[in-house]
Amino acid sequence: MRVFVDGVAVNGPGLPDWEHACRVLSGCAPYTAAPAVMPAAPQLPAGERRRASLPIKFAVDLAAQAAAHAQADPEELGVVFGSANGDLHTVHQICEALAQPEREVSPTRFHNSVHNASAGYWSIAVKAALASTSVAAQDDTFAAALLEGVMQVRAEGLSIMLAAYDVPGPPPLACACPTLAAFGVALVLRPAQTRMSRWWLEASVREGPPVATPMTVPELEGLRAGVAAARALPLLSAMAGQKPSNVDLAYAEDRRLHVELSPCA
Amino acid sequence: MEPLVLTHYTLTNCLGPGIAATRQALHQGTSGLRPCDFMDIALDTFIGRVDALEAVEIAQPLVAFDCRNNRLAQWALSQDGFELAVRDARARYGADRIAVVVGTSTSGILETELAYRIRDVDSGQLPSSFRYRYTHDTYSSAAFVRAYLGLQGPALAISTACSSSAKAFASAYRMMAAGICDCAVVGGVDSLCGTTLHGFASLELVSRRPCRPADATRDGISVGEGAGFALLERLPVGGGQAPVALLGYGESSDAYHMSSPQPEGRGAEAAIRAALERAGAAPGDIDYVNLHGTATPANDSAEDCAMTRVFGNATPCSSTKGWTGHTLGAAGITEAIIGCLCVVDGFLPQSLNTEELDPDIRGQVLLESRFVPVSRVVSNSFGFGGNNCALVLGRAS
Repeated sequence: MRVFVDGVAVNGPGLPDWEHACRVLSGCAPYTAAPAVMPAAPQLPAGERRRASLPIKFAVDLAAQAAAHAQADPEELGVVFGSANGDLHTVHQICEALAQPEREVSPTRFHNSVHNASAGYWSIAVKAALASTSVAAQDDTFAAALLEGVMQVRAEGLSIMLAAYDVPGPPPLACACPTLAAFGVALVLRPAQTRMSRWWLEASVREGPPVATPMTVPELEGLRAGVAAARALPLLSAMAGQKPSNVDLAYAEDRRLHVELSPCA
Repeated sequence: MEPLVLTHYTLTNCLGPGIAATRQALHQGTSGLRPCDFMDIALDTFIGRVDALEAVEIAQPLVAFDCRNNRLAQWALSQDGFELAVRDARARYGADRIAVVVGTSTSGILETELAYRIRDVDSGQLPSSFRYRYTHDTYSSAAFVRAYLGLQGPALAISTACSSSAKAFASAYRMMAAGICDCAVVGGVDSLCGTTLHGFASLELVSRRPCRPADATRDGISVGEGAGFALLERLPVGGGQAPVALLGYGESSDAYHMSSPQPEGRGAEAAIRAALERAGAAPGDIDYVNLHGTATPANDSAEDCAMTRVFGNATPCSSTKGWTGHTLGAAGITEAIIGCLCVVDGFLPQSLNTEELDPDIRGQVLLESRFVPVSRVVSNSFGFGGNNCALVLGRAS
C-alpha cells in the first residue's frame, strides 16, 4: 500500500519542530534533551482555545504544522488521530471530582474527556468535515494509526491528516500509566504524488517476531521506548536521512508493520 | 463496495443476554430502562443497566483484565454461539488472519474512578491493585476480546465517542480490502460509570424519565450499557445466522461543536449520503432507518433535518434507545445488529416511549411496530466531536 507524504511535523523533548528534528535525526546536529514545548494552539477559535486541555492543544498544533509543511488545505484532509492514552489530565480531574461527595463533573471537562476530543477540536478549528477517527493500540498506537491512515488513503482515495501524540498525565495517574515525555508526530498522506510530495512509503503487515527498528542515539532510543507516539522516531529518522530505507514498527502485539520509505524524485 | 456478510452476531444489553432477549423485547415492546440503581450514584434518571455483571467471572488466564467493561464484553461474547463461530473461523482462516476492531468510549474508566476513591491519604497514590493497562486503557477491551477469542490478526480500538462501534465496521472493511486479514470480529462495548452518568447530567442532557425519542417533550437521554460483536466475512461459509451484509458505510465530521450537533444535520446528511453511495443504493431503496435518536432536543431535531433532506418523509424510521438506553460507544454495533434483526424478522420497531410526536419532526417516525418485508436498512450513529457514521445493512444477494 503506497502513499505519498507531503508534510511532517514533530514535537518532543529536544525535538521542537521538524526542521530541528531533521538535523538531529540525520546526524547533522547533536541531540540535546529539553522539555517539549507546550503550544498555545492559536489555530483554535478563542472559545475552543479556552476550553481545550494541554493534550488537545498539543495535537492541534502538530496537525497545523504538518498541514503548513505540506501546503495542504486542512479542510480537504480526512483525519486519523492516534493516542495511547488520550487526555490523562482531564481523566484525572474528572476522577478527582467523582471522588468528592458532591461529584460535580465540569461539562467542558466531560466533553474533553472523549478520546476523539483532539480530532474534534481540530475539525472545528479548520472546518474539516470529512471522515475523522481516533484510535488506540497501547505501545503500537503509532503503527496502528499509520496503517489506518494508509488504508483510508488507499480505500477511500482520501488525503489524510495523521497525528499521533501522547502527553504524560499528572500524578497519581502518571504512575499507573507511565509516559516518559510529551511527544507527537503528524504526517500529511496523499494517494498520488503532488508537487509537495517529499517521500513515498509502502506499508505492509508482516509476520512476527515484532522486532522494531531501534534508534542508535541512546537518549532517542530511551524516548522511543518510553512514549508510545515516539515509536514513530525510526520512521522520522528514515525521512530525515533522505535515502531509501526500511523500517519495522511493532504492531498488533505479535506482528510488525514494515515500512519501505524513499524520497520522491 | 463488496458486501461483507455478518455471518454471526451477538448482543447483550439491559434487555438481557443474547440476541433472543433483544428480539423478544423489541417484538413485545418492553423497555429495559429502570430508575437509576447503579452503585451509589444518586441521580434522578433512568438507566439501561445489565443485570448479573457483578457475578460474571473473567476467564482465568485473563483475570488481569477484570473490570465491568471487560465483563460485559465477555458476557456478550459467550452468548449466541459466538465463541464457537469464531473458533470455527479460526480453523478455516487461521488466528492470524482474523482482525479485531472494537469501539469503546470510556473503556474501563470505572476502575479508575473507584481507585481515586481510595487513594492513599498521605501520598495520594492509587491502590497497588489498580491495573490501568488492563482495564481503563482505551485498547483494553480490544486486547481482551482478541485474547479471549484466541486471535492474532490486526487489532484496533476505535474511540470516537458514540459513533465508535459503527466506525469499527468501516475500519474492518478497509482491513479486509487491504488484504491484511480475511475476516474480522467487529463490535463495541461500553459500561456504566460515574463519568458518563454525571457528565451527561452536567450537560443537562439526561432525562428524569425513560428517554422519549422524537417526542414533543423529550428532555434527554437514558444512559445505558451494552456490548455487541459480529463476525464479518466475505462469503457465508458454514451456515450463519442470517444473510445480512454490510453494504455501505459513510463517515463525516460536523466541524461545528464538541457536544452539540450542527443544527441542520449537515454532517449527519453527509455520512448518510456517503453510506448510500458506497452501497450503490438510492434513498428509495432503504426500507427503514434506525435513528441515532438519543432523545435530546438538539440531536433528534438535527437528525430529522438530515433525514428529510435525504429521504423525504416516506421512509419509516425510529430510535430504539427507548429499549436499550444510549449505550454510547456500543450504540453503533447494538443498532447495526438490531438492523439485522429487522431484515431477518421483517420487523420495524416503533419509537418506544414516544407519546406525542414532536410536530416539528417531519420524518416518518414509527409510533407502532410493524411486520413487513425489509431488505435494506440504514443505521445512524453520531458522537461528541461532531463525529458521524452511517451504515447500510441488507440482504447480501
